[in-house]
Amino acid sequence: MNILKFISHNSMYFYIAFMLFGALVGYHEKVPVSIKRHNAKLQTLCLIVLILTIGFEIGSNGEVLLALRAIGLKAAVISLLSVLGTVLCINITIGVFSKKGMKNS
Amino acid sequence: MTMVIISCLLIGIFSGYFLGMPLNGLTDYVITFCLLILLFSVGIDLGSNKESFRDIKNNGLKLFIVPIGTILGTAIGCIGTSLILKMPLKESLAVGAGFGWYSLSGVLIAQMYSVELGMVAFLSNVIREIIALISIPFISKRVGALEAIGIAGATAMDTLLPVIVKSNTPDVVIYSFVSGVFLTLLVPILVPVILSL
Repeated sequence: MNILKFISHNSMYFYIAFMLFGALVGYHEKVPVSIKRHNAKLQTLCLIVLILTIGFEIGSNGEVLLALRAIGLKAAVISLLSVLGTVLCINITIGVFSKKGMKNS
Repeated sequence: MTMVIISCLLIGIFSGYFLGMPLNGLTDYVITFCLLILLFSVGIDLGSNKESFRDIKNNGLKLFIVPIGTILGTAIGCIGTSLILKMPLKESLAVGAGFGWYSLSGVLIAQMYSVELGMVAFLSNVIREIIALISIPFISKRVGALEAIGIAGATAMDTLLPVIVKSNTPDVVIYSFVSGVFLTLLVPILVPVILSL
């Protein structure tokens, strides 16, 4: 249990390390066939357990349920403005790049 | 898949609501353990896609216009949100840094920061995916393909790839895929870093 405690207190570094390690293993094709074949299923299984657990925490946390309206508002504004910002930023960058391209040619 | 996730969330919420908190403490370990396996497994998927690494070598920096623009644009949107709703900047940035990958960003934030902000992240990134689903055909036609890919964020490599391909010429697949892979790699790095600021 102590190892688990240590990992969950420093989880950020372990998350990053595990993903990069996975990418490295995948890139060098060192993945056992059994894992590779069931990789998608493994992800689905982890996801389901994770979402159930988080749901449980949300349900048992009265404050979150009371704050649902504020939570929904924040979520909606963040996603709307992010999408707008993204479209604008890419649009401007493409404009700048194509002007530069014209000058060069 | 979205339906499975949403119904799992609802089942979890109901059981948590009615059973109370006898599992408290244990949930933290379960989440950490599952996240480690999930991220390792996603890492394998990313690393096995050698074609995208080759595409980056061949097409160079041009491919990064979309993900970099997405990161900057999302950050600007989050700064705007924190000004409008008087929300701490760190919180809105962390939610935005999910780039549409709602399952991971919601869980990460709930575990590392607060369950409430985790819920914001989950909802916000679900909404981003819904906006993308609805607007990609329109944006592709009226504004441009690359802008449409940006909206999809991290999901441009999987869930929304078919939508993007259908509304554009096939040559944008590389852009979509590389942008999705790059942003997917960044989510588990950016979210914890922003939260620890």
